[in-house]
Amino acid sequence: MRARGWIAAGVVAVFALVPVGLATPAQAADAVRSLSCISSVTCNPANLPIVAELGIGSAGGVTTATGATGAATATGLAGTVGFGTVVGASGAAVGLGLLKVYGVEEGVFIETDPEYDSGVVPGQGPTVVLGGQSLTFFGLLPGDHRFACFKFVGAWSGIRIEYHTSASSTLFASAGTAGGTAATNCASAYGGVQADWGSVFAGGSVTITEVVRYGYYSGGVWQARSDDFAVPQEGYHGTIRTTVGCRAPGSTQLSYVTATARVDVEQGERLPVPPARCDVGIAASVKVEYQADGTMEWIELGAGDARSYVERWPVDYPDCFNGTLTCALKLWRVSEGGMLASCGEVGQYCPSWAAEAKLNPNAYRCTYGPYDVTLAHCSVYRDPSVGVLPNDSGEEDEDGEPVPLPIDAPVPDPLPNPMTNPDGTPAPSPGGESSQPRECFPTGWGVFNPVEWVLKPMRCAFEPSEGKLEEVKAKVQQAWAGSVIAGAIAIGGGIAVAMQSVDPEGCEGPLVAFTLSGLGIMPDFQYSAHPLSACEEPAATVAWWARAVGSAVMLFFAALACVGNITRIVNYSGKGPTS
Amino acid sequence: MITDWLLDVAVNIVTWFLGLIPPLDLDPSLTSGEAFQVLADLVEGFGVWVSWPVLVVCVGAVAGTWVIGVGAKGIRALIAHVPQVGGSGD
Repeated sequence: MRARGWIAAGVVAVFALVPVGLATPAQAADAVRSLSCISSVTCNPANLPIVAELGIGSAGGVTTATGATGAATATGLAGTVGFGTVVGASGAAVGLGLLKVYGVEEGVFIETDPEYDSGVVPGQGPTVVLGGQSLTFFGLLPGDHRFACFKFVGAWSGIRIEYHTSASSTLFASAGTAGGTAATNCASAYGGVQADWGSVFAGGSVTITEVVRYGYYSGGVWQARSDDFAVPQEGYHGTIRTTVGCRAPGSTQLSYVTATARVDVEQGERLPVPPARCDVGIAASVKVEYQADGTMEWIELGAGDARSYVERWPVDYPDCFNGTLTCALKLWRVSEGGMLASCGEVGQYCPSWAAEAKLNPNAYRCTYGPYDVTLAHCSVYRDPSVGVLPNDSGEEDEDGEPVPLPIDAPVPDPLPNPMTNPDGTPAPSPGGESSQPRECFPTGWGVFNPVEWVLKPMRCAFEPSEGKLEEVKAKVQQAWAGSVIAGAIAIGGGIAVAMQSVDPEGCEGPLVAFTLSGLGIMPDFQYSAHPLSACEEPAATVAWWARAVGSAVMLFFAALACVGNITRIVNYSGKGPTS
Repeated sequence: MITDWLLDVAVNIVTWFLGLIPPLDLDPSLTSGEAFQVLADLVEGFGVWVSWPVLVVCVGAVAGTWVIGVGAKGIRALIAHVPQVGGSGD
């Protein structure tokens, strides 16, 4: 019994201290369900406000590619350029944070700037931060360019990551779990797959074992890639300066953050641009300038401003932009007593809410973090059985805010597969399998082969149907995302995060602070001290002995318990014959 | 179709199990660690008196050996059911 007590305490302590650094699928979803209207669920720039919008989690940088200077307005527009933050594995920014966003029909391809290729040690690629969630690329080959299609899928339980190659017209595709090899192609992304990659993204990292040459898919054909910063014939030899105008929560003034870097690039090379990032709030403006050696003149290479409504977010929703909260749209059911009940991450616990809210709008509420917003914003959840749906009406109100679709807007049809090769033939499916329907009975000359009459029906009977595994994964991930177990793991992660702030070198002991104002006596009395401080003698020596003796006692009893656990495997109790 | 059916059954069992307890609506402070800062402060405060790393090692070792023991016994119980192998399975 004594050992059992130890074991119970041990399990609890291990659980409490285990460093769970993984973001839950729900947290991943939070990164994207912002107030910006969602144009399309499947891989559309509007699904990536964190990346595409200048302002949120963004760093400085601008490009002249495709004529899209002032690239803050990438949302929904193919060929525009957005901003994000690219940081190294250590969490420090390693580059410009410029993310090119290629809107392709219903897809978006994000290319991290190739400057991150150079000098990147294979296996230690940069991390792309999406609204607080990070996604680390590993195994990148220096000099190669890569494309990722971040697909925010059905139940927001994860993100699909896709890598493409133009050289072989084949798609590098494989699947895996957190920390494993993982990639797939866009083709399957349009086949009604509702959820994937929850566990992978929850791990925050995906190992890519193979990255091939670059290319990107646009408008139905593979296209050559164009440089965004066209380096002139004389090259750039001097200083590049990035300036970001930051708007802090509640502030009407901009504060500026600059970063400079020495550049020596020739025509044909890529221009590295130093990162500049706002610590809190949003980046409301950005400017990239160049100063040639021996001159005093700064030449503007590009600049841009966030859209007006993005710029207002830190003012309208300050708690969502001061670094303490991760805000997301959330749907609530209002009971008769006025109590709020969560409808789940994607409204799955209120399956008919849209119809009910149409009859009684007061029956439901929509919130963005701690703020109430119009119910129409939650129209992304208007059919929870499908997942998160597009809700961008394409219109703006008088304040320039995007107008979401109403909650009873029709659900769009499944999207066609846009992936084709340059010759117009369909791109291969992830596993290279044929899309031909399965034959369950022999045909042609096979009808004379009795073995075929056994094998083919058997194969049909036991082989899972196409998309079945994806469906299974989606269901399990959706159930997992809202489960108590996932919640408990998330809480464990919170404890681990809190423990990371512990300073093991401290000697002050616990802080004891209280007042007597609650007793109604001595209202001005305040006590705040470290009564167990061991910073000075003789307490320091006593504390040292306490640690030493305590450690010895713990080790002794742990050793006893371990030996007992091992010997019980062979039913040896160490106390003579067992009964 | 048989595999599909089996998968559906398995998924239904898993989703049923996961749905037995109503979902948690976690406050962000719980997952961000903010809510546990008091605990972290206490751990840090007593760190000069208690060797937390040793405690973690001890607890981990005890838990680890317990898991090993349970696993070994489980495997032994399974093997005991193999015909001609025998054993009590306990």
